[in-house]
Amino acid sequence: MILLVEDNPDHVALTIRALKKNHIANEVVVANDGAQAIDMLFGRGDFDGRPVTLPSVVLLDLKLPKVDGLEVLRALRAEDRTRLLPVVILTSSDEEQDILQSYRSGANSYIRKPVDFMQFLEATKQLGLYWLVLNEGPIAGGNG
Amino acid sequence: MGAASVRADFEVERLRSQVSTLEQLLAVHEKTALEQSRRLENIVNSISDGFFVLSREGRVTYLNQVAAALFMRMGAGSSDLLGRPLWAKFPNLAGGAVEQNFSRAMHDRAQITFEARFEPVDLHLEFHAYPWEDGLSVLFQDVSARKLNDLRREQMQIELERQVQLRTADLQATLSELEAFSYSVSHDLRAPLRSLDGFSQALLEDYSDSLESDGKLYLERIRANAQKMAQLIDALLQLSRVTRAEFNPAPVDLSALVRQIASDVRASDPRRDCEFTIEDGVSAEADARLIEVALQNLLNNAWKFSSQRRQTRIQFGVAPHNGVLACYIRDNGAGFDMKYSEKLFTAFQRLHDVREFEGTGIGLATVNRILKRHGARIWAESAPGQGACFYFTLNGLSAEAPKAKSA
Repeated sequence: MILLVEDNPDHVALTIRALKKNHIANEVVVANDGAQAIDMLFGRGDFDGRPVTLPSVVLLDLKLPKVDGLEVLRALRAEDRTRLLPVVILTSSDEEQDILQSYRSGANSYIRKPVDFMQFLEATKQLGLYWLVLNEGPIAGGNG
Repeated sequence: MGAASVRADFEVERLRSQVSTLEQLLAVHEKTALEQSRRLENIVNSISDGFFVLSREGRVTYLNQVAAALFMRMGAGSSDLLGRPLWAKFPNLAGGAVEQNFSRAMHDRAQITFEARFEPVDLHLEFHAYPWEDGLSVLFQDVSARKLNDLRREQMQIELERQVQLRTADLQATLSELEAFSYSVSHDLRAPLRSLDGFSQALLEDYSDSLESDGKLYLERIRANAQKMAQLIDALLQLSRVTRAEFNPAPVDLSALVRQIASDVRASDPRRDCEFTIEDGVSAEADARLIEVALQNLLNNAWKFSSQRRQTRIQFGVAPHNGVLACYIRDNGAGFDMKYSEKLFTAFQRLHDVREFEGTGIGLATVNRILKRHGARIWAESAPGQGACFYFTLNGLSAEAPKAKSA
């Protein structure tokens, strides 16, 4: 399973399209803001009492409503259960501060979304190949 | 008359004469002493400081005119002071500080300098007390004006610091706004472009059958423009980063940097016939990251504007130009008309048709800003069809090995 944390519905549609085009068959779950992502991953709020399935990888935008991407990342790194969860920052910004702060907060990877869809397709392909196929995750049964 | 009597008379006469001589000598001595005393008095009075002498017991044994005037302002005439203890007239001068300092100077047999304030008439005095075996010589002066000036200067300094703090806060606020703006440009302005490009591509892929060739072309144009705008946004961001970036100058090996950039540039189109000539051992004092951006822009320009030549030749080196040592990047490309050279380094100004050479019009403005941050200067020489040569200065520019080497 892939958790896509993205507030822009266009970008959600394009990311899902790019994953499909690359034959990445993993289920994609979408959180529309940082608060929802945290609730999903920690089984809180609307997701209270529901069993939590950790994704193989989190694709996390930085600029999000309510709770921004860096806060989500820090929250994940503060909890034992999610400390080692692979998180790829997928964002429009290539500001040095964003990149540095992401890595300092425990991001595993940082990808700037290209404007050119063909480039994005290629990036998604690499991303899927690396995080869903090649990479041996720290969490047992992570690939799902 | 007996001989004895004559001798006695003679003796008296001799003594008289001796007394008279002694009297004359005494008169001369007295006169000299008086003159010396007057001269001394004149000297002491010519001092613009107050001067007085205290005996061991603290009696005033002498005071000059300035001292008399100063003491008068403090409420004591000379007759009140001469021969009397100073502390009888001024029992608690500056809270006893003056008396304490004088006692210390006499006890330690050491010169002392101090300031004291006489509150009743708001008089600031500076004392220099010099001990000697029978008492103390004291020079003192009114430093009220100086004190007032010091106070004013202090207040001005405080005011100035307050102003600087205000300005700095203003500047910080502007800078934060600029940060926020750049962030927004980087993030929010690009997002719609991704949608434009992405969905155009989706149309091309999913509805290819129902689109005629014109329709497909239009979609490609939408995509091309979305990408063009993304490039513009990136160029603007780079320009604003140049202003916001920290500036850390250090020795930089420019030759190595140019070689690296040249190999990247060449890799962008390996089929092109291009000869780079890069002078070895060129170094300067620069911010490595900023100067890299500047050199990238200059080399990309040289590469771009010489794309229509059968063989591209790009040279980097150091040479004296217009009386200063300058780095140069020369190409054999399209060149430009020198009458437009002033527009060269202004943002969004282009000297070439977009159909001929694409570009954002921000590259050289970025280069110019980077060199300005270095306190350096850039200029160019060219003619249409004759290639272009960009010169720039840098601090500590040197070329150790003047031997040119082909990359």
